Amino acid sequence: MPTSSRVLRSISSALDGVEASLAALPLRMALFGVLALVLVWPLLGTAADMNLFRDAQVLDGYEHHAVETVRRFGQLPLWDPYYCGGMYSVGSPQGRHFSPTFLLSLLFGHERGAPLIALAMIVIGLEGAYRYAVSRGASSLGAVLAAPIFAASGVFATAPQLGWLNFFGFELMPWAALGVREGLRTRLAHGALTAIAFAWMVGFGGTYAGPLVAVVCVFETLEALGERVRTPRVLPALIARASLIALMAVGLSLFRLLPIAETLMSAPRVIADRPGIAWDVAYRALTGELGFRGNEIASLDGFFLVGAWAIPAVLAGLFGLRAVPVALMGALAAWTATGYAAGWSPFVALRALPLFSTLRYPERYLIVVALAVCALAALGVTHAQRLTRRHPLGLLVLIPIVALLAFNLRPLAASHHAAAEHRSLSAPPERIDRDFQQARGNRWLAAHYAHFSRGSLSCWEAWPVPQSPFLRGDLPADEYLVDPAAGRVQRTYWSPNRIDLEVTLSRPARLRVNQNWHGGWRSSVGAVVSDDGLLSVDLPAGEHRVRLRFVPRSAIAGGLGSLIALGVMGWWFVRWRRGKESPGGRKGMALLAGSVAAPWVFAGVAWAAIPETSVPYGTVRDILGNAIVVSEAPAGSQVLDVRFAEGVVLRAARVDKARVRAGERVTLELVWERTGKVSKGTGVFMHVVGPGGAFNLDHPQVSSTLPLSALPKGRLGRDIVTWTLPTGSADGTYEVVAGLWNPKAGGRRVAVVDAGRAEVQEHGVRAIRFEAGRASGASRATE
Amino acid sequence: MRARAAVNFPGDLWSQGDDFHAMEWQRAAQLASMHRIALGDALRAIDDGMRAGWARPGTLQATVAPCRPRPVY
Repeated sequence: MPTSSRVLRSISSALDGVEASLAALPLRMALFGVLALVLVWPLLGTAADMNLFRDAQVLDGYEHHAVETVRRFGQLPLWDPYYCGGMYSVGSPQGRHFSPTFLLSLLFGHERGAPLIALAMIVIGLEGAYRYAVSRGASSLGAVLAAPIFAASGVFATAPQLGWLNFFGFELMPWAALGVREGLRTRLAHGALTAIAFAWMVGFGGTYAGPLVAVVCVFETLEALGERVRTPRVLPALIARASLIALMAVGLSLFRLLPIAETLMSAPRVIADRPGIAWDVAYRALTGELGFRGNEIASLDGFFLVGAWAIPAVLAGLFGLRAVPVALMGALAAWTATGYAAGWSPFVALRALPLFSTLRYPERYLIVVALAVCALAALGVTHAQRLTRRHPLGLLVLIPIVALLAFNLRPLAASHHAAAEHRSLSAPPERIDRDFQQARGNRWLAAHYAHFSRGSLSCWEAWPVPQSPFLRGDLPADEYLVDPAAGRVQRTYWSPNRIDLEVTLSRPARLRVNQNWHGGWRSSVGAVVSDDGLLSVDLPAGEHRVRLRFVPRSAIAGGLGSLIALGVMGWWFVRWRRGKESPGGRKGMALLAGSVAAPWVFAGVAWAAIPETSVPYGTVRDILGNAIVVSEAPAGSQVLDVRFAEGVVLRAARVDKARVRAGERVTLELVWERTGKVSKGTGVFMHVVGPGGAFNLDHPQVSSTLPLSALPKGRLGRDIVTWTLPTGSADGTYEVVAGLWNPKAGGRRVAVVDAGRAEVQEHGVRAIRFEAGRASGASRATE
Repeated sequence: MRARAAVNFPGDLWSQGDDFHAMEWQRAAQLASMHRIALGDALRAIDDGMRAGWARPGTLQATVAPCRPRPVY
């Protein structure tokens, strides 16, 4: 009979065998492949169906439109005519079709491709988490067992349900972090991992993944610097390495970053709230169970699930110095996730940065917490293994930890399956190939329209898509002359990036295309112009074969930059494979600096060489098509001349009718002038107060279109608000109190420094007064 | 539906339009289910009808308010 000690020893040696096997890539990949398959199994069973969730309709729509553009028209998906009346596809941050996974959509179609993308990204995430944990000192067994804590965590369960497939970009987070870790400690060549992962994320629509991963990489850099703080002479070299990795990552991503930067600069996203979650909510998000109300996710519980069964392994992992930086990263990320809930967190500071100011949801930093939990759990198993090697009784610690981590897969898988089963699915619409035209559409069902060769003008995005108010969903032909008597237009070819027309004109005329204007559109004849935001061409008299092509400067310059970066990285890789180290001294530095600078230089030259116009703010119009920037206040305005501390003057105000009936629309207008520098984020507060109650009409931009900070000096900005006095509102006098506030500065009102001709109270100007009459003649609803 | 949307989102034309489209979606789904047709066919019918002038002139709005995501949700 073997003694218990011998049994424990044989188990211990078996575990050593497992450890060695798991270090081998093929077995590990097989395990990860099987696990990923289990997780996405319900998705594969419904792969042909369309996800009806509102965000999926938009985001899957982008993928479908891109697939159509490539497959049907043989073009790159630069312009998406199927949504919002036409948008710059490369510059739209949430599209995922500029990444390697797009090949799956091309091969299998965007619907069948989606679960395959999920499968592939989970495997990539599992391997990345494994390698990251190993690089932090974990054993193979620990890293394999802990990898699902990150790569199968809750956010990847909910992503397919919500249509947020671009969130699978987070699966590349450990790869990016690993590149910095190894690039700063061993060979710089490892930095290529960071560059590739980052470019992939950006191309995959990683609006959150990109910035959050950048934060993780900064943390990794600070950690590496902290380790060498006692040898200050090496710090400059480390900083130089980190900078090279960062520049290479951004250089490789230029193909997408440049168009996105251009888009967001011309149409900035304004976020005014102060989001945050309490600590207990964060804990439940990491350990709770995903709940549903109908098919909608009911709360944050389990949304970022890492599994409570991992806690013993994490606690075991906390022993030892190696755990300190990981624990610190996790703690900082958790604190950041609380946002404004506890007053201040790093999220508040990050929001002061340009890119981070556009990120609304702090709880997404819990994904970084998941990575830290994963690494700590892996270290926990590793500690227990070491204990076992020293004394067989260590198995009494190791076995429960390993068993619980294995058991932790159950809630993780259940979360994936529950989310998949709570999708609203339907068969995709019947495909009808016919001449493309814009329909009024419906953004809640946006993915339907391209199936029957229509675009949806109805539009939602996280940023204000430049959209002409004159787009129509009922035109007999989508290309027409402003003056129909001037001649005729015939479409001869249509594709997303190219439109061919035969135009016969008896006199010079303007041709309009029922799509949004963008500076990247070029015409073979005449001049492309923005006609109130509509794509238009001014043509001379005569017979013309007009070819409109979309050739955007930022995509070309960015694409060239990325290609050069790829070439440079390939060249360095070949050198490295041949065993050639970077030459030292000045030559080496020059070579490295040249390599990093090359993408930027080529992108810059291309940018300078390609002419492209942008629409000046002077031509901006509001939602109803009214010109916003004017030289004089409109007739009937009451002069106010109220000066604000921010270098803004409220010149005048008006109301379009003195008496308003309940249920009737009234147009309220403020006229602003910018005389100095205005802080970014300064918006207009507008409260209608009367016997029927108080109504909040705050808006961050003039006419919800133009930031006050962008109002040209010396011109006036018409701030037009159309409001309906609710049916049943009490009669009496209503007053509009307006002023300036900055939601980003804690919602503080901007001080009035000179009341001018108005009555001012608490920095609010009593700007407009009107009477409400009897509730009788509400305008009749038509739809 | 447009009147209800105007009450739900006073002063915000894009949100009003968006709210209207949410109601239109529910109505289209209802009609599709009632007539046992696909939702896509119901949407196509709205488009065809708007283009062919099935409704009384002036009763259907063929334009949309440009996208202006709300700064606060």
